[in-house]
Amino acid sequence: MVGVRLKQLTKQYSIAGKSFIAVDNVNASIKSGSFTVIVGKSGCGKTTLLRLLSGLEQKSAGEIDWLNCQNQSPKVGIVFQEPRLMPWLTVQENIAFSLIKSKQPAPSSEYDSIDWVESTLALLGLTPFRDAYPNQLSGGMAQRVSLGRTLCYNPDLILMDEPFGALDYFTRKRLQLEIVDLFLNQRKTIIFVTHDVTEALQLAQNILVMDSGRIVREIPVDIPYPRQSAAADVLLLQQEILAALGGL
Amino acid sequence: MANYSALIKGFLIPVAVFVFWFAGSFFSVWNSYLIPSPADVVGALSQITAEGTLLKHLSISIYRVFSGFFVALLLALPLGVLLGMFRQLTPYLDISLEALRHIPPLATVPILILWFGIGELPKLMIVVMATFFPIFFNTLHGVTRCDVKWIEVAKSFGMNPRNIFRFVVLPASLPAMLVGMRLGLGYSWRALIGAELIAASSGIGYMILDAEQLSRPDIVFIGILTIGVMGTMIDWIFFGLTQKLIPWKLGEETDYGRG
Repeated sequence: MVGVRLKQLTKQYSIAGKSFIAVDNVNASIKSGSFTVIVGKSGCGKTTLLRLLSGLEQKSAGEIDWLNCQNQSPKVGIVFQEPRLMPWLTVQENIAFSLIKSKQPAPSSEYDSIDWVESTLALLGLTPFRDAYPNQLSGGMAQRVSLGRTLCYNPDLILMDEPFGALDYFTRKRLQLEIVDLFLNQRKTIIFVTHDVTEALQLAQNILVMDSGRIVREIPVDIPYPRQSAAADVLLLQQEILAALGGL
Repeated sequence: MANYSALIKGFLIPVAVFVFWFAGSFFSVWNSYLIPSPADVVGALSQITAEGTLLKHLSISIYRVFSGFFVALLLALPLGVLLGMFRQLTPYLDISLEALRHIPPLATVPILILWFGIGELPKLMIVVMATFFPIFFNTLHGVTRCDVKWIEVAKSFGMNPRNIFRFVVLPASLPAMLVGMRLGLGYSWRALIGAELIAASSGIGYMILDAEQLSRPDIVFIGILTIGVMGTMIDWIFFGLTQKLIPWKLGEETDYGRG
């Protein structure tokens, strides 16, 4: 479990000669073992912030300080917006994909059933589909495999970039409950990005509201899981977030 | 070929052509020298099969196709991967490869004979030239079209470039490579027969030319049909063998061009 402190973190792009600030002087602190949701409109910089944390983008300025971290850089796992499964690997092999080590060459039977893979399959109810290829899976199933792949990597910090954005209402609800269960059981640090305020309120212990590259509001959510989306205290927070985002 | 209905449908036209051919010959609709009767062709077939001529020429042609295909594979796969992985090389090779691609291998036969005689080497080179480009361009295409999103996933798990190549780029481009090989096999047959027609003392192409000079149109027919049958069989076998390498594509409509 690691936490992270962001100090004046900035990411600047230049698109067609014009510079564009995606993440603007962000200061935030994310406790280890906490569930943080970053909520904001499309294009507010939340995905860029996540990509900076994952190391897929390089920061332009500022600091990312890892807290509670034995190594120099922690193991960060990311679940993307799309499942991004390898079409040439079965469900089981896709999950084991995260275990291919970069230091030593992978063993020849690299996709063999490792205990980790086995337990991940069981955890997410994927065991019956272990030999299916991604093009045979429904959207929800594919995203579950994608989540399994990241869990199997056993990261200190899990980043999720609108992982349920493309799913139908019922599948999304179910996966939200499963994520909360996973969080309560495994106590990993999770940073979850979404544009869906209701989703944020279902999941977060702490909500960071983002707008135009800045964090405009930090809202702690002290409501026990599972939460009713129509409960008065939840609705109250929802009003507060919407107000911070500039209303409806 | 598990689908019998498709198989029956596929043979409708060949059977109709055969019936037409048989009937036309039987009623002497055409000159039997220009279009020999099925009986003549079958007679000639059993004759040259018994003599071993057909098998000799056929095995030489098949040997040339596969040795040329193999050499082309050794050249085209690594080069395609290299150019796909290191885009900065493209400007150096782009124009040269584009120009070479437009030269039909057969156009080089006269100069190849001048340089190397009419031995095996010119034929091998013709096959290599015909096979190289489909394999090369499809490999290149496969490697360059490998989705960056998959590579990001691998990077996010801390995979090093060597393993990214092995576990992402290579499997991602395998279907395109196989399409290239399949096209290449088809091209190599055509080019080889052409080369054997111009300058050879063996092979199916030579057998056809020789039959023409001996006024044996029945053997010419056998030669032409043999090319079609062999090409189809090689294609089927190659397709059958390689489909096992890409099980995730099973049942998917694959856009394989026919060589």
